[in-house]
Parts: sequence; structure tokens; C-alpha cells
Amino acid sequence: MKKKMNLSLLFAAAMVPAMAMAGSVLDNYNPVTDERLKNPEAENWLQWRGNYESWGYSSLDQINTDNIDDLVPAWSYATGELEGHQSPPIVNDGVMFVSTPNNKVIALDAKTGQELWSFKKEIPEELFQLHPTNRGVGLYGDKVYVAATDACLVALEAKTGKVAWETCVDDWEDGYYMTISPLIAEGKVMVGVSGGEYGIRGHITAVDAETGKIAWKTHTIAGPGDPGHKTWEGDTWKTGGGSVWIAGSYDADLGIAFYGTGNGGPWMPDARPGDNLYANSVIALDVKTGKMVGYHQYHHNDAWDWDEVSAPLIIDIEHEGKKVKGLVHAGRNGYLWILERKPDGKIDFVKAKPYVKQNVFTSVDKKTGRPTYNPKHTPGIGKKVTFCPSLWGGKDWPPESYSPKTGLFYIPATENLCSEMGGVKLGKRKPGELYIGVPISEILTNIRLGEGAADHIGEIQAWDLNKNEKVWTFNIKEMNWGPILTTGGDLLFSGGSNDRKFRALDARTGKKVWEHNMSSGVTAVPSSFKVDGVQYIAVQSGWGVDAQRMQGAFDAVMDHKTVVPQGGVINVFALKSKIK
Amino acid sequence: MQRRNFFKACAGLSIAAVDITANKVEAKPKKPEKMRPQVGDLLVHDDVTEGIKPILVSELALYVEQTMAFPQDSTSKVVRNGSRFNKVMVIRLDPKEMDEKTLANSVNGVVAYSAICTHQGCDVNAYIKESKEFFCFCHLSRYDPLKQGHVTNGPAERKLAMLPLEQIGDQLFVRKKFTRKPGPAK
Repeated sequence: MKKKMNLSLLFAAAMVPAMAMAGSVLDNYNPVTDERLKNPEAENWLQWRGNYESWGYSSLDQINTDNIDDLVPAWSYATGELEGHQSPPIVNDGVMFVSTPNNKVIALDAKTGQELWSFKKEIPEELFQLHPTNRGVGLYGDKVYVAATDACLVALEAKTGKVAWETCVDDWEDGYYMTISPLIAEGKVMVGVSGGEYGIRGHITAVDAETGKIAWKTHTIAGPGDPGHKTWEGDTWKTGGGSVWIAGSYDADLGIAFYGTGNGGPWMPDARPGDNLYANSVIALDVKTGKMVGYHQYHHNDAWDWDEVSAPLIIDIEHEGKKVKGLVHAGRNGYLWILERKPDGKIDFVKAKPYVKQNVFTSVDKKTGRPTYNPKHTPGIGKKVTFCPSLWGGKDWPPESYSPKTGLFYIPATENLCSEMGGVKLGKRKPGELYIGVPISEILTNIRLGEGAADHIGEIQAWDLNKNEKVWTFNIKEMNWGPILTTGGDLLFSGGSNDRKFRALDARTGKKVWEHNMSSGVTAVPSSFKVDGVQYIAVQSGWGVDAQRMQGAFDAVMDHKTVVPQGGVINVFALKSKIK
Repeated sequence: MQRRNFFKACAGLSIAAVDITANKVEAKPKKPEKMRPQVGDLLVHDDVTEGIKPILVSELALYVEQTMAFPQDSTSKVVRNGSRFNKVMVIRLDPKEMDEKTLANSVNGVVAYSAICTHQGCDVNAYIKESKEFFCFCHLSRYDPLKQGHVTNGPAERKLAMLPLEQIGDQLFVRKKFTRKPGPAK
């Protein structure tokens, strides 16, 4: 009898390898509602940045500055994938969902790391992946949503990992792809497309969460009939770029989502004369209809590859003695932007200030926020110049964080780094082929070290937004690609450096209080959650994509080569005393 | 008894598996524009919007950026541009600098390689003159065209596929199929 049972179990395991485990935490899966997303429980991490406001903050305080020395690994799990792991472990009542490069989703018991199911989307053999990564799943109802690099959105049943539906929002053969974490509200799953480097025209598409039908599609590049279309000459809008890489923030009271948009395409400004709306902007979309109800363009007619894809954080601040319903964004253009969201969705400029060395803007209009440019540092076709910050900007895609407890705003910054770049005239666009107009070899060797680079390049900065002042800076020797998590324990967690460190800083002082040597570099979004009274800190390690590319560019101009091993691992930490 | 039933069930399953294989519908033949380069194909410029133009050996200067090409079926005259994986890059090198296998697949210093990066399938779209390397923008992989397309700088781990050539008149023809599967190993 015993032998029979063992063989039967083997048989069952062979036949149904991905079946969810009986008696698991999935049995009583708690559906995700609008109300839960609007007011997430402290013990859960239900979306990309933890809340609609994109704070990257957990109010949990079991792990804090007093006991951080006791933080130890609780469990880890190898994802089996190479490349850049960037997504947060997303947790709903003890069930963790993690997306990885190559369109994989893994469901695990958040307490033990036991795999519950896994899913890997088969993608076309000929698909090319400039950014083989994923920035996280979305949860809603009893489904899990993942945006794939073939520009298709997939809905999975949360309990089993089975595909409920799949909707393609565009054509990968034309250069469209997705790495974004979905923003979900009012029954709509919103995703944006990447592909600016291939000459695509960006858009955000909302898909019905239950049926998979497309509800609306709003382009980020103004086409004929759209307001702002005259900011493009001729047919340049057709290849205008404006990628959307990063999930929007959402003001649930207004029903408005705020998204950042990528640079205009191709890269050189004289290839597309005009302001190029709505590239390099924050746009406000009515979630029910997709109508663009407001925008602010951080900088017009981009020349520096300064995508502004991070969504602004929704933070209310004080300005000149008044409360302002704010939108805060550390721009790739090196300026810290504070804007105001109006009840009708319009976005007003409040103030802007450089947070890294910036030699391009000669002024920023106090009323409108429109910058003027120094032509000496503005590249063009046949015009090669230096500019600071570099093409990776003061901050690339890794998200900032806001702690309501410390009242500080945290930026993963790149300082002391510049670029030298110029463009060439392009021929006709070929679908799916690079369309940037800058020689590839020039991109490889674009790095120019600024004054102070010998000391450090990466930074974590903390800002008091009300005073508009930097409070502290933590220095990192080379690049910093580390998304930031802050907690109610007055801690800041982040990786991002090529030495494979994952660190905790005192969020009030910037002093390093803990670090751990990881399996690979950490460019993923950390999260925090609680199960059975134990607080956990979770993050994926797995170097790749832009961090690796930037490292390659460093290696091309510097006299040393840094090896950062690849391979994804989910790492979960807790206090030693709590997991005995 | 129960154990015997289990094995019986397994045996039945294995027979069913054989049956399924036997009944498997044969894959449809590929359309000529999607077929990988065939022996005898002519190499033509990749951009056919203004007509089909053969690559001419006399146009290829020594150590100058690669020329992108697709094979053209010698019979139907169909250009095999229905698959990205058919794209090849052609470059003229000094035969004296080539290793033995590269030399064997070249003709008068001209070599052809798959233009698809073996890392994530992007186009290998640049050439670094100083180091005589092919270069992929996506993740900065580099390849040595003088040494069978070996990787000189990762993240790619596999060398490029070569397309052995022959020359007739001033034109280039496929002498053998790709030396290996083009693109990444998925």
C-alpha cells in the first residue's frame, strides 16, 4: 500500500508539474478589490510601489534601526532566469507573486518560499529583447496580470496560474514590447508600450480586467486631431517614441492616473523639430475613458535620451505657506520637479531645482516650468557635444521613495557623470530595427567622467520637499541602479551597485546600518510584508539589462573591468528571533 | 495487484503517447521567404523597397562596416526576408588574418554571418573599426569576424552562425547552409 502511494504521487507529479499544492495558502485566496488597492493593509504589498501614490513605503516597523543587526536570510529561491530582475515580490495574504525576465511568473508561499505554481509565456522565436526584464505583476480580483515582451497582456488565475485570457496591445514585429507593471483601477488593467528606440508611437492601453477586451488606447504622441499635434513637423509624429515603461500613479479620489513618458524618437532634436508633445512629460488620464485631461512637459524637443518614464509620486507638500496637492518627480534631466494636481486633472508647475550637476538648462520659467537650453550642450545631427548629466540622467528608471514617517523623499541618483554624443542623419525606418540616429559605437563610448567621479558616481539622496533642501547623501563608488524601499522602522533598503550589496540605511541620517552580499547585483524593487506576525523584507537579485549595459560603457572607457555575475534569486529576510 | 494496475496504466499511457506521435500532423513546408538560406541562393541588399540589388564583391571595401543582406531563392527569385533570422551581414576582411575555418567559409576575403545576436535576438548592427569587431547595441555583445564569429565580449555566450559563400562573377552565392542555428538558443 505504501509503495503504491509513492508511485501514484510520482505519477501525479509528472503529469501535473505546475498544479497548485493542495492545502496551501492559495486555498483561501483573498481577492484584490479597488478598496484594498486604495487602502492597502500594512502586511501586504499589493502592487508595484505598494500603494497608488507610488511611495515605495511600508509602515511595518518590526524591523527597525534598533534591531537591524539581527536581520538574516529567511529563505531564498532561484528563479532559473538570467538577465535583469527588476520586479518587486508582490504579496497578498501570504501568497507571493514574482515576475522575472523572459516572461515568467512564480507564485510562492511567502512564509516558506515553497513554489505554488509557475508560468512562462512562450514568445515568438524571432522576438528581439532590448530590455529582457519585467517590472512586476498586477493583482485584481482573483487574477494576476503580467505584461510580456511580445506586447501582450496575460491574465492568470491566481490560484492555479492557468491563463484566463491574453490580449495583445500592439505588434512586436514593429518594435513594440512591454516590461511595465500594470496599474489596475476601476476594473481596468492599464499597460504602456516600450520601443522608442525602434521608432514606435507610444501609448497606454486599458484592458477590461475580467474579459480582456481593450477599453481604450491613448497615444503619448499627439497625432492628427489631437491637441499638441502641431508640435510635430510633417510625419515625424509617426515615429515619435514616447515609451511608457513604468506603472502610473493613481489619485483614486480624482479617478486620474499620472504616467511619465519617454523621449522623442529618433534621439536627435533636429530630426523632429518642435516641442514634441507629449514626450518627456507627465500625462494625466481619466481612468474611465482614457481621455488626457492634463499634462506637464518636463523638457521639450529632447536631445539627450532623457526619458521621463518614472511616474510622479503623489505627495501633498507645503509651498509658500500653503498645502499643495503635489506630484513629485526626480527627472532624468537632473531636476527635482514639484507640480500640482488640480481637481480637473490639469497639472500646474510649482517649482524645480537641480539635484545633480546639470549644464544644459540655462533657466526654468518660474510660471510655466519651461526650461531654456544651452546650445553648447545640446547635441544634434552632425553636432557632437558634451552634456551633464549623462544620457542615463540624474536618475534612470529606478523609482524614488517617500516616507510619511520621516517626511523625506529619497532619490537613487547618478552624479558626476556626463556624456559626449552627436547624431547622424537617418534613412527610412524599417519596422523592428533600431531607429535612434546616433552611431552605436558612439553610445558605447559616450561616458565622460565629471568632476568628483573619482570619489563617487552613485548616490542615494534624501530631500525635505517642504524646505526644498537636500538633507543627506549616501555615496556609492560607481553606478546606482537601486530602487528604494522605506519602512516604518525608519529604514531605507536598496541595492543598485555593482558590488552586489543590498543595504539598509537609517532613513533619517543616511548612515549605513546593515548590508548583505547577494548572489548578483540588485536592480529590483524591494518590498516588505508580514505573515503570522513576522515582518519580511524581500528583493530579487539578478544583474542585467541597463545596469549591465552601463557597466559595459564604463568598461569601454575606464581602465578596469567589473564582473557582476548573472542569475536571479528571490531573497527574503527577517529578524533572527522571529524565524527560529 | 494494485501495483500491477499502476504499471498497466503506465503502459497504456506510453502506447497512447506513441499513437499521438504517429498521428502527429506533419509540419507544413515553410514558405520560401521564410526558409533559411539555401545552397545556391544569391545574396541581395536587405532593403528591397527600391528593387532587388545583388551585393557586389567589387563594392565591398576592406574592413568597412558590414553590409546587410538577405538570400534570394535562385529559382523563384523570392527574397527570403520573411524571417529576421535570414538576415546576414557581409564584410570584406584580409584573408591572411582569418583563422582556418573562417578562411574556409570565405571567398576572396568576403565572409557572411547571421546578423542576429545569439544573446537576445537583436540585430548585430554595428562594426568597431579599431578592434575589427561586430557589435550589438542591445547589450553590447561583440564578435570577432576573423575567428568564426566568436564572442569577444558578452553577455552573448554563443558565436554567430556563418554562411559559407562562393563567388560567381561579381556576385555572392550561398555555398553551404548556416554553420549553426542563427539567433539565441531559446
